[in-house]
Amino acid sequence: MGSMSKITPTLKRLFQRIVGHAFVLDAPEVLKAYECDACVLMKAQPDLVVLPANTQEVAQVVKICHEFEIPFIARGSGTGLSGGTLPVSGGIFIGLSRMNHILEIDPENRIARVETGVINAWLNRDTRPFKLFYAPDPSSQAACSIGGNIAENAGGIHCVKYGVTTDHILGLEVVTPEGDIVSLGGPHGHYRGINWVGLFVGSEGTFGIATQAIVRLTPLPQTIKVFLASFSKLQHAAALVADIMASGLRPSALEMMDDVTIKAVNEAFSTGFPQDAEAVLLIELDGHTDEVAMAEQQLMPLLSQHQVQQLRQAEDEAERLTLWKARKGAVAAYGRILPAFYLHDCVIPRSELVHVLTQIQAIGKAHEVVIANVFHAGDGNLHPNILLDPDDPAMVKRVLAAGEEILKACLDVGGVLSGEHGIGIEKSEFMDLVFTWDEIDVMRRLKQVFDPKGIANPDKILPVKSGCGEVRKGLAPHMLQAQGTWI
Amino acid sequence: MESHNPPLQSLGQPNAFDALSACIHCGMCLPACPTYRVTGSEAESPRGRLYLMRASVEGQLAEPKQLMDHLDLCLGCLGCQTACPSGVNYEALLMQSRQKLVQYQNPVKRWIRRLLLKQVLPRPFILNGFAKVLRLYQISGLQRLVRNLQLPKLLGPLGKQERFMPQIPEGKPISLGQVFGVNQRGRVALFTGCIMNAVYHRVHQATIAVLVANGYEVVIPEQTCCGALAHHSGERDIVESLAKQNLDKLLAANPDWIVVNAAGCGSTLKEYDHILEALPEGRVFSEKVIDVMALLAKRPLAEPLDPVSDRVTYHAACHLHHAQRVQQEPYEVLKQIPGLTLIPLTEAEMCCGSAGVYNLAHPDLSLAILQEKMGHVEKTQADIVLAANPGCMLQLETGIAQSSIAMDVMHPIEILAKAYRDQ
Ligand SMILES: Cc1cc2nc3c(=O)[nH]c(=O)nc-3n(C[C@H](O)[C@H](O)[C@H](O)COP(=O)(O)OP(=O)(O)OC[C@H]3O[C@@H](n4cnc5c(N)ncnc54)[C@H](O)[C@@H]3O)c2cc1C
Ligand code: SF4
Ligand code: SF4
Repeated sequence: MGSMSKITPTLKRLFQRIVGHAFVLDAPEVLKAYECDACVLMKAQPDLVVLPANTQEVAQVVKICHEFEIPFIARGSGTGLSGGTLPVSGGIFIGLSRMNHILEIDPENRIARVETGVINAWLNRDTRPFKLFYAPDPSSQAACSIGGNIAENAGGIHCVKYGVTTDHILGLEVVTPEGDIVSLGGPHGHYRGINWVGLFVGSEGTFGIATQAIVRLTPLPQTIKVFLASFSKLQHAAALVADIMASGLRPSALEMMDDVTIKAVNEAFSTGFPQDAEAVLLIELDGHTDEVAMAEQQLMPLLSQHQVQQLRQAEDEAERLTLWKARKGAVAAYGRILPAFYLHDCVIPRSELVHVLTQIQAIGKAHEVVIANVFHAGDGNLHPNILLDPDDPAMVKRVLAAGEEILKACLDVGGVLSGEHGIGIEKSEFMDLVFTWDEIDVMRRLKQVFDPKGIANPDKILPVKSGCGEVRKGLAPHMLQAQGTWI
Repeated sequence: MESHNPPLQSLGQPNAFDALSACIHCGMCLPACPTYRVTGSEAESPRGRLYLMRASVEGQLAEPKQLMDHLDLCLGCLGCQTACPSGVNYEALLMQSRQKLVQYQNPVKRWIRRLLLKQVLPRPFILNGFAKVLRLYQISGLQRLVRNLQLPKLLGPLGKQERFMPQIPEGKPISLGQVFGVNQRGRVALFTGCIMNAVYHRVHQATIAVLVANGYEVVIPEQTCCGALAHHSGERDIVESLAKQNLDKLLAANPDWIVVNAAGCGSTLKEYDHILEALPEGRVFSEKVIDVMALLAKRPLAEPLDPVSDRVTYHAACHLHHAQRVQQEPYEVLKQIPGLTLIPLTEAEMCCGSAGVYNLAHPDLSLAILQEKMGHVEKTQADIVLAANPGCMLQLETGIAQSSIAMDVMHPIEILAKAYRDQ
């Protein structure tokens, strides 16, 4: 907000003519419903929401934005955790929620062509009959859109083996910030020239709007085995993770949950994880049956070298699916403890897991906050969720302080800011902790090439170096909002 | 009637909305919501509705209408509640909100609706009489004439509603006070409901036949409307009075179970313990209420079962799947029928857009939701689509009539009855 709405009645009519009256939303309460994504600490309302039905409509809407210099922000399902859709300088939302059709599944070439509003889980549902799947599986896959995944270069439970979103996007149809429709890559991927697809994936909507994608499909493995190991100390689990990954084993998933998480998911999904454990690991092996048997032989001695409290193997597919459903629902299940959460998403070297997790525990104690860990351990991608009540300002303050200390602890051991949730607005203030201002300037120049008018999801990723050379470092955006400095 | 006070809070009991804090705004429920799916709007999603409820409680909305408009469009299908990992009790929040919002509705419309809920639905002879007239309209060729002349179009918005009019079969509604079978496994009271009995009395006949074949004594006590429509519109006093009458009449028959074959009625009857909070018998009553498929799933079906060679698919009625959480039982029962081909339906548990009188109140949205459903139904290439709720059955019939597919709509109990046809 902050800036005056640039949406005149004439502009509104123009948008209505493109997408139809029903799909231009500006009732005050509707705009309010759009004021935040899954990161509830930060809020800003768009001036208008437009819900186009196809690429042409998106392009026409963007053309108008370009002509009248109206900021526009692509919005998928609004499950983002870094405030990526927050319209901090006003502008309109271009929602992809109606562009949710799977256009083609080509099992022979193992590709699918989809509109970017398609929900990640639907793609898997529809490719399964062909014994294929779309590998990147964020925990939010029941709700998040392929477009949002592309923008954030989303990761997931199985990415430790199969790679993240960027490894599975072969081609894109993009509406540029000037309103042109371009295709990047193609069914066979990028094969010559600059790798535009690679550049676009992870650009968080700042280079334009992806309207269609050609994605790679992967054959479903012949055999899948899931083991559940519990530990009386978080550190024991962390040490095992480092050893597994160092051993050369390639688990298809290696996830950790701590005691707070165990309690929440047991309640939500009746999973029956050991209540007295301080951590559980979910270890999945997949592939050809022989391959899995060999991997299992390699895994067992490793398990015996660490203090495993209890070891269980998922009996059948139903139990395996329940375990993963519980893992994927963990963050939402925190709602049973406190109404909101704030998390960082750093990736650290796996050899530092024990050290950093110990530090996180200490930081939680010092700031008297509840921290729940559930994360992609095999990737070293931490998710310390600090639980909070947004209506308790003192608690929010402690949470933010703890968050910043955790972040610094991660960066101190050579970690990076974000594994999969993106920088958005929430972490842009921390960019200069990991990049020099020269490096940030290169990124800014790149952005200008795509978006000369700076209207495609402005204010995201790149931090603001304020006029007097002083950086607004350490001030998380929600605090800025509280001080009324959203401009 | 307009008030600029925050609608929910101004009515006191701010704590009734404490359950809102369980929503962490994760969005996992969005794709499970039919209205979000067809409108694409966050404000027509569960997360959006909960957010607006909260805004209303906190006094951030300028007028009640800003909440009402979006709760009006909610089907109450509870797809969101099944999807939510945080355990948000959406149903309770929706009911509380609606109960508090009714006072801000257009008084004339509300008066007419209350009249219908209080005076028409609970009187079977009016509904059955209307069904008779409707059947006359349909078999006399008048309906064909009206439709051929494109009169529904001339009727304007009402023409859309004409499409949702039920096809009334021949035969008579089950009359109350009868007893069937002998008590080998238990004595059950059959709840007949308003629409089920007026339009689908054949489902009651099938229910009685199957229950009798399975050793149950079936009694049909005096009873009245379950009050579902009043309940969902927030008219608490009406539903309370109906609930009280049903409680007295049905318990007087001294049944082991109160069997229901209409999912919508079943879920409301199961709520009587909350609706009649003050009465200890409310709990006794609700615990006796059971859906017929859930009762039959309790033990293997009585033999012998004749083979049934149909190819069927099963649409999971919201009020069975989401509200009563009767999810696996219908499949378990159907799988016991020899010869039956049960074809899985994609998104079987998505609402069909019927939702009580939703299709009459919001025909466009209802048809758009139905269209998604019919896409999946068509792909099954089944002969028969099964649904355990009269509203869904009517809606699916409308969907089929509008498309080029030839498919029958039945209640699952009718397929079972086929397996017992020679007994
Ligand atoms: C419970 C929970 C669990 C999660 N788990 C994971 C996880 O395991 N791994 C993970 O990576 N993330 C996870 N996330 C974060 C989130 O789901 C992902 O970032 C997801 O990719 C966002 O998708 P969306 O459709 O909701 O996008 P939105 O939130 O709507 O948007 C996110 C960003 O993408 C941009 N964008 C959206 N669509 C387009 C488009 N078509 N073209 C260009 N830009 C676009 C937006 O402008 C915005 O910057 C989780 C979130 C929640 C709430
Ligand atoms: S209702 Fe549940 S699933 Fe939906 S946003 Fe709230 S917590 Fe998430
Ligand atoms: S009850 Fe149904 S229509 Fe209403 S919010 Fe939930 S899923 Fe959507």
